[in-house]
Amino acid sequence: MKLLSTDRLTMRYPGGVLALDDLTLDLEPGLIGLVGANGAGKSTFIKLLLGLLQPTAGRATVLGLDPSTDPIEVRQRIGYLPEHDCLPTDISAADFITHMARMSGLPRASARERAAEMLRHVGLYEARYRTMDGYSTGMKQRVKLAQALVHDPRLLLLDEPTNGLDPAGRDQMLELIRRTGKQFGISVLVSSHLLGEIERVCDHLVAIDAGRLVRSARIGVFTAHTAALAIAVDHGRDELKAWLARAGAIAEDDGRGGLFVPLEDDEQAYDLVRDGASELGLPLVRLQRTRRQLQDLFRATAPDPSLESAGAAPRDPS
Amino acid sequence: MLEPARTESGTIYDIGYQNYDGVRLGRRYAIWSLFVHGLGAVFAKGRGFRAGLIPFVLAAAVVVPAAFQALATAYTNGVFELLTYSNYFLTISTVFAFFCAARAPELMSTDQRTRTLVLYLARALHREDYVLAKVMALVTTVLFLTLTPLLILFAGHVFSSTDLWAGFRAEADQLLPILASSVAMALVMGTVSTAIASLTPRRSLAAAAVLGYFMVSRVVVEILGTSVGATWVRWLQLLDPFVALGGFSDWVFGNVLSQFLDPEVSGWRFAGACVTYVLVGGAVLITRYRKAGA
Repeated sequence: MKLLSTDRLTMRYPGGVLALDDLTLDLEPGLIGLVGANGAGKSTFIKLLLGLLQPTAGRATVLGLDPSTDPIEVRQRIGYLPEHDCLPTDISAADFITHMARMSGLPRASARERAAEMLRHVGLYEARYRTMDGYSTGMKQRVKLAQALVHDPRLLLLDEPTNGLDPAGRDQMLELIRRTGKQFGISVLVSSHLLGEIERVCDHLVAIDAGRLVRSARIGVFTAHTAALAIAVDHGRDELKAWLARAGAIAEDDGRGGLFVPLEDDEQAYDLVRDGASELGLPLVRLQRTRRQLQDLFRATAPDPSLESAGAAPRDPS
Repeated sequence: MLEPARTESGTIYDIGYQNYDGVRLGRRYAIWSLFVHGLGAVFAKGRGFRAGLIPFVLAAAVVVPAAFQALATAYTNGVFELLTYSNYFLTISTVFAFFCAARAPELMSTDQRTRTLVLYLARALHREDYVLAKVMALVTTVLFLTLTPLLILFAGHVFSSTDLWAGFRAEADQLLPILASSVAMALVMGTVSTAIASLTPRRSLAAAAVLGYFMVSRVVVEILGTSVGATWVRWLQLLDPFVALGGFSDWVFGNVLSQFLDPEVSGWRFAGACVTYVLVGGAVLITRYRKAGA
């Protein structure tokens, strides 16, 4: 069965902001990363899947159900971790998770049992009877994961779960997510603005920008194209770009005065750049294998000048 | 076997994941659970002695005068009667106002401030269900606080008679009005104060707003009532919910010596005002939560 699919899903907020624009997607069960810059429409997408927002056009299907007509059925099968703080402070984690389990329809005894089990899964078993006002950001984030898991959902929607965590906390959270997806057999859709995080845990990647689908592919396909050569010359950048184009290599501006050349498997690009620079007599100051950042990925796959003005890619101040 | 993952507050041992294949009780159970949770929140359940002090003291302040009056009624055979069925709420309306101002924000504002609301909305219930459960939690509490003193007064009347059965029968026709006026009080106070409290995530502001509404409306209405004698002022007085509730009580108890009722003013006016309060409060709540948490 399809995990989720959307058909021309569009969301325009009453204020006129177009948050999602004609998004058509088909996703199989698994660990899915949803990447995009801040404001790209990730949270809106997740809320539409939950039936918390009604799309202005198009439709979504989650686990075979339509969240806009069958929200309760959908939500019983989904766990949601919001981007922002959402925990009460004056109650213990155990009581809170139990309460949330009951909100999903679990009888009292099962709710309590599952709550303890989930808190152990996220590593908060010892701290579970303490009130949550004393919890660190990392602990709170793990309570949020536990409440999303407590009713044994088929799909987890995690909105920026690593937000505000230090590097160690990030690693733990990512490991928890990976473990949840791989060992529990629960599908996970995890959003992030950091491609590196998504690469580590997901096997499928969906990139959106300014509400539009940039790309949806298996992670391998995606990252194969992220390896590139970063080139910098003191002057004559445009001549070099033209020369490379004639030689059959498409170079792009990196937005910082240099160039990117995609690095294919045969690694021919090294020789091409060397030859081009020497033939044109240009001072080559940088020739470095690099992994392209998320915004470079967007630039490469969606060469739309309006993207830059929409604030999707950071512009060079110079 | 995987290595146990170490975290700052414990060690995660992987003992395998158990799927849950027990019953899922669904929406009605979720609403009921939230309602019961709300009752606990009104009385600050599990929040320690200090937090529980305010609701219990206020609840006692509502009930205790009735107990004294009931004793007085029983001893004096109904001669000494300061508090009657119909004037009881009006006499201690300030305490009710304080109670609602103290507890409605606990129910409505807290989930907005901590933004827990979205977690409820992402579960097996609708927005309206959430509102219904919360409002009914306060309505039920207020109903308990209105019904109890009136039933104590009722007991006082019954015990003032030497023949208890005869006493009960003589007083029995008051039971329906007792229920009607209590329900009106609970519904109006409950919806109005939750509606006001839902407008802000800040608890103290919400408490001030609820109390402010009850107090300011009363002062304004009293000034109007004493200074302007025109008939339209009597309509305007209904802006004080306690005028609407007091008039309604007088009407259902058939109190002809009322400050509200006279041949020109029908009790239906107060009944209509009470219904309007509930409808407006409900509309405010529904509108408020249509957007909240999205």
